[in-house]
Amino acid sequence: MRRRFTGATAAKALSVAVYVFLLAPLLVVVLASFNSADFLSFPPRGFSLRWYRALWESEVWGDSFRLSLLLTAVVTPLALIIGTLAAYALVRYSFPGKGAMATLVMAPLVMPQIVLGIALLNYMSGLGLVGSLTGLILGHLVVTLPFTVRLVSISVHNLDPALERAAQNLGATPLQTFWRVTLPLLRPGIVAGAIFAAIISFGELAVTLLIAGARTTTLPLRIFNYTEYNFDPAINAVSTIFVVLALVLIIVLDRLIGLVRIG
Amino acid sequence: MIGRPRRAVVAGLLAPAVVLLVLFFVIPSADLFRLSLAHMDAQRAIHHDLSLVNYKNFATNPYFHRMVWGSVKLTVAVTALCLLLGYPAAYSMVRARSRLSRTVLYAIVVSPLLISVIVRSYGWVVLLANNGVINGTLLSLGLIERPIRMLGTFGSVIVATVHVLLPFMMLPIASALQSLDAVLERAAQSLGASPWQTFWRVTLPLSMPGVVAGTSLVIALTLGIYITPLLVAGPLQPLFAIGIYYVTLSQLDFPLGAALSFVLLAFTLLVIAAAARLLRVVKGSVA
Repeated sequence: MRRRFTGATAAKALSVAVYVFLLAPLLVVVLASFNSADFLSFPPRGFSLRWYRALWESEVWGDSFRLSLLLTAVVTPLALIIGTLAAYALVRYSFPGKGAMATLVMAPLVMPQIVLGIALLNYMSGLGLVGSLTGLILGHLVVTLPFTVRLVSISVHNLDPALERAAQNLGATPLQTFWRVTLPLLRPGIVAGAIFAAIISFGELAVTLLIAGARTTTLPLRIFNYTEYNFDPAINAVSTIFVVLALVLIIVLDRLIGLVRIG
Repeated sequence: MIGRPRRAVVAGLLAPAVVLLVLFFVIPSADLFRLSLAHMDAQRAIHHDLSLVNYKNFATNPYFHRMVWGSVKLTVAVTALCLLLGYPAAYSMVRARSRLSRTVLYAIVVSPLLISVIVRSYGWVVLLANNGVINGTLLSLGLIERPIRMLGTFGSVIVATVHVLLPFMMLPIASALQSLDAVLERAAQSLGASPWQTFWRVTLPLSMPGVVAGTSLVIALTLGIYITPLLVAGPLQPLFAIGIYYVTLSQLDFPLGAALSFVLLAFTLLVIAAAARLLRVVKGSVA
């Protein structure tokens, strides 16, 4: 029995350490954002909201924030529509080449991000798309599509085709059936897909770093530039916004589909 | 077999995704492969001459061997740590007594996935910098006299990468443990197995599909990770993905960068294929 005690206690202590480890860098950034000192300093000098004010008043951070919001607002619905249509076809119908199609749709997820970024940089520079908003939208669509397809597919799997047949037997046209029966039943997958697409697009850096330009500096890219080249304590305040956003979405996701089922 | 109208429906549903991916995934990848067979001369002119000179360069240049070795070391360290830390943590998450604590633990594991990788990596800069939290604490406690250099080291890359990838190990393990009936563990114990025996002979084998899935995901992602190492250790860290970034964006040798990209892609696909095979074997033996 002694052995069981030590083994179980050690495992428990290790898991506590792991959860602390997962939280530590995020907590530290949130705490640092309220530090009044004007460089990275520890222990903190005093409580202050000056970095939030600096952020609010800064034109460059404001530009990046608006750009990232715009990008997310364009990418999310597009990735969702393209992904929902593809997911419906891939789950509901069987057709020649279905396996190849499923592989193609998921392939951007398997590609190492540096490779995808360099492929897009090389290709888009030939088309004059590097540094443009259009280029970023297209790049983000490729990155987000596998997630919307996967999340919507789960809902399509759970959708009973008998319900659609019943609607059609009762006289609904295929389009009516799709709008009034299919779409409402796919809602959990569509909302989860939208959340993931938005989160990924808003925070994307691996591909963005390679295809964005001076006039398309997204919020993550500006954080990267300022960490690498000229440190700005406002980074802590921006990062805190990301953390708070994640907390809100975690609660939404838990209400919506249950955190346990995301894994 | 599906009828003609059905076929039109399927084609219509898939068309937007196929057009997007062909134009901005398939063609760019093919183009990059073509570029990898070109070569850049001393005057920086690119010749499309279908040569293997870049691949030969990779195979013979010790600079690249050092990068590959760095990536292999990182992958082994990160995967081992993710497994050792992730398994017990996933276990206590799934078996947490109350619904509330289970939800909180899941939130801690899932929330990093919702926060940009740049923010998570930046958090490590704040912790590990010379004027960062860890050095600041040690200095003010009088435990050290001078800051310890942590940022920029290989160790900092390991720590930050484990942090970024740990959820990808924990979530598949958690979902495997969840589908494992706790009754089986109790049955083993009531038949006289010790907790260790129960773990090694019942729990672990039955959760193997999750372990294999998580491990292969972490290996594939570690091979390609570049934002996190770039931020905590800079562009000269000998790692494969960082080397591709450096060769392409600093030395502007696109053909060589393209060739290195395809070597990395080949490694990654190899890992994924091996894992898929292993997963089938493991699932077969569980069923």
